[in-house]
Amino acid sequence: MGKALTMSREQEILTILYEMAMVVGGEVSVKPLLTKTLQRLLYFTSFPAGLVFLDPPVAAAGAETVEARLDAAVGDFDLGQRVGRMLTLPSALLSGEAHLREDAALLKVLSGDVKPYTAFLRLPIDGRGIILLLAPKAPQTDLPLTRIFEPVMENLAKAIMLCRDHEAYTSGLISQRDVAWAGLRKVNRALRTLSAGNEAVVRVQTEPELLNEMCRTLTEIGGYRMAWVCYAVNDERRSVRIMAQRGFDDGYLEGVQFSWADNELGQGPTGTAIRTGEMQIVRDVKAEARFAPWREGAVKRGYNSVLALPLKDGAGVTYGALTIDASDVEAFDEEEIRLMDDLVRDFSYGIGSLRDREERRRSEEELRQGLEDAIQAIASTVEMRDPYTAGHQRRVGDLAAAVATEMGLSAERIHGIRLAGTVHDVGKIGVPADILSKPGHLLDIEYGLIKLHPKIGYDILKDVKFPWPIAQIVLQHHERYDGSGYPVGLKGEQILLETRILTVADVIEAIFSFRPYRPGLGMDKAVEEIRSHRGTLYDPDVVDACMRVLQQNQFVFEQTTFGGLPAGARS
Amino acid sequence: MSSTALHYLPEIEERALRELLESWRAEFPQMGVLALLPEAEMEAVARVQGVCSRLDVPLAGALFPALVEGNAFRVRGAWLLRFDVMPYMALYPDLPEGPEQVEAAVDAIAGDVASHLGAERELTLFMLFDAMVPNIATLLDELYLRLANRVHYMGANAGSEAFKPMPCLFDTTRMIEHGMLALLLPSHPGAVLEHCYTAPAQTLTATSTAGNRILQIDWRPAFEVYREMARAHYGVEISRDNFYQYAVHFPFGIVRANGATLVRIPVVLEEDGSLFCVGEVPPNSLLTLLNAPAVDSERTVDMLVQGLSALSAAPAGQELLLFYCAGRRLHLGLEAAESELRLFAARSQAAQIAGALSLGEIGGATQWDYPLFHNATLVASPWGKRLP
Repeated sequence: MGKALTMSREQEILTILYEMAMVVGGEVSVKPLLTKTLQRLLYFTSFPAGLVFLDPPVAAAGAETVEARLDAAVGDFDLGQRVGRMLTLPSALLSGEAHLREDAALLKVLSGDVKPYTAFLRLPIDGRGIILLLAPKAPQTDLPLTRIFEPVMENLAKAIMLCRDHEAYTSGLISQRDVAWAGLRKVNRALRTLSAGNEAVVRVQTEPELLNEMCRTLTEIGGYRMAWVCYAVNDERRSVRIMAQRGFDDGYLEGVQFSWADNELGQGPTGTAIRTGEMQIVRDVKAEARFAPWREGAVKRGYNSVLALPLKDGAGVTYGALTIDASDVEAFDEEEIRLMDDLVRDFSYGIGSLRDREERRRSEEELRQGLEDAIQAIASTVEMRDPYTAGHQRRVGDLAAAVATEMGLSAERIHGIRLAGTVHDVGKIGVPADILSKPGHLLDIEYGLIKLHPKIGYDILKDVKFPWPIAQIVLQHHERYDGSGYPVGLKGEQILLETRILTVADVIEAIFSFRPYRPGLGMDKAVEEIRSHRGTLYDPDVVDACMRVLQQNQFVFEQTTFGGLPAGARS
Repeated sequence: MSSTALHYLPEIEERALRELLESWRAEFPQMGVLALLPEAEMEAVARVQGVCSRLDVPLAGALFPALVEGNAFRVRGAWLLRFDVMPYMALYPDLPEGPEQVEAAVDAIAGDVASHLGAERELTLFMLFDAMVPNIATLLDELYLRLANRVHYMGANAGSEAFKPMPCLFDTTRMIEHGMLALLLPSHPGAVLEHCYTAPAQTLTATSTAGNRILQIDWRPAFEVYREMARAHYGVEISRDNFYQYAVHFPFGIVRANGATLVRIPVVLEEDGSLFCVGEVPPNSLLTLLNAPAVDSERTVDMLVQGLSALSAAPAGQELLLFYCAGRRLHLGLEAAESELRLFAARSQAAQIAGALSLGEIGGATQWDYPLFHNATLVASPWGKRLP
């Protein structure tokens, strides 16, 4: 390109230096700094290619070549592929002051196969490295290229140092950030584990299920290699009983011994946690002496750090431990340990709640069983006085329960109906035995006495605290759907559903079975009775359900025989 | 190419077009075409595309303010430049401006080109840009970082002389704007570029630039300085309408250490008083204001001819491709510009010269120069093989 400006040489140089200074000062990383500097040098000088060698070694005295790492290359495709690699170069090329020279032989090693370089401009970077600008033909210029870039090179040397400091600082920050991220990821994982654990505490119904869920949460959500729970056994060896385990075990728990005694086998994290009630950490399985008895098996299975957390009851007494085996050395940091501790506290609370709940359930069961035993005793008393109705109450209870089941009542309510059936005739205890077993027609006064038995039964049962309305059912069991029954003449929904069911079962059983005053009339007769009075004497829904039960053979009366006894009609 | 590979159609008539392409293809079955059209013939692009498409002839093309033909500038007709074998070509529309997007775009372009390099060492990456792309110098720097001396670089800017956005680059089916047409020419030595602007002794220093906008000259609002200079030298008041007409006489010069100057011609006066140039002004660069620079036409042409000779062989008898900067023509005036064309034809003794009036040029003064984006230059390149 032709000669251009007639501006002063100082002005020319100033403009170049100004822009170069801005470029050099505008970068904070070494690689773009070198690339941009080379680009601008090529731009200003018309050299088509440039190379940078940072910290080149000093050639040994007399050595013709020197090994130097190529740190940047612009304008040469082949050399660009070799950035970062060591090049063997003539010592004369990299040594010495700034220099502009045509020397094809010296540049041969850098020349490609199309257009060899014949000229180079060497610019030392003030002790930090060397820039080589290369050209097939030296660009024409009146400017002293070897000198005008001196201030730029001084600045570049400082910029390289600053960029390196900045990169080191940034790298440190990145490293710190990575550590922080890793910590955050761990805490996040621990929080998710904690959340899932709390959800399990609320959801799970039994202690074994909860223990299993605790281990599953830790391995599947927490990502730990294995988690297991053991309870302390108060035997001579102070052994432990494994209650739950999840994750990669590969026979580990079966193959090693644990103890919470104060002996060698009790110095591990699990035993110590149980014995002392304190959390135990083995940060590096390979390094901690106390872990020696379990080390080989643990390392083989990839357990490199261990956290054992004591399980305590409401009184603070340790009864077991949760042990977490992790793949990483130093897997548990402070925050994670705190969260794991929270998790175990929650699980311990959950276990305590489940135990309390189980205890309450057992007490209630015992209480209920006691009541039922009492009912059975009462029923037996009646039946001892009235052997002709022996078994009637139980069979009524069974059929009533079957009908209630067919109608979709709850198990609890069904149980109440069954019990009510079992004692529904308890009031007959107040009716003279000879009336109850009298063959033939009863006198009105006798029938009047019999009709008192629901009220007598009610009076007997009304003060017993059943969870079901047993006394009411007993009182109502001769009421009829249309209001024609006794003792009150209740009708429809005024009569408890339980009673309406019991009534139908009572009628069916009474007609079907033997009575002291008549033989059993058979199921057809019984069915005819309830069908013909469906919606009048008996609740139609209950009749329908009872028909389904009987027709679908869901229910078979236990066969009872009271042969030879006189016929009658008193249920 | 054994017969002339450059054909000027004074009228873009379908039949003539078809006959030309058919005759070429009879001799060169794998041929392709580079079509250069003046912006006034924009509507004819579809006709050219249609004929090429029907004949299944690969097409690359661009619209310029005018064509160079017969030592004159033409605003009608079309140049058809034959490739004996169609080289790799690609259209890249909507080139980005953000640094990260530019990196990605240039990675893609360089990757495409690199994948077609093969073993051949003498290749030229011929680029036609839409002149409205504001960061061509950056794109060029980035391409050079990736492809370096693996290819020679040459090119020019297409578009409207009024600097109105318009689709100006095309292939057989597409017409794009704000993009680039890339052609990878095999066995091609590149191009030479020259302007020979000389500046008077009095210079002004410009400062404060952003991208392709000059914000301040001598620490004063750029437009203020412009207005004063135009008034002092030409006795005219610069307005937005006549800005380009006068600003070509006050181009900016970017000084380089080899004594050469990069010319940047301001083409638009922005609303905020800043001056929009074709081609980037490097960030923070100190600029020289070339106050009505003299142009040494003789030297320009001689340098071009010497450069062409250095590329491969003397241009005598060769067919040449020439891009002539629109800003230079405006600065010199039509007569002087056509005089330069005549001088170039005479000195080069080229068999034929096909070309266009361009809105910015890409290349170097010599074959292995760092490729730069210029204004005010002539870019010359051999086209095809020497005619017998």
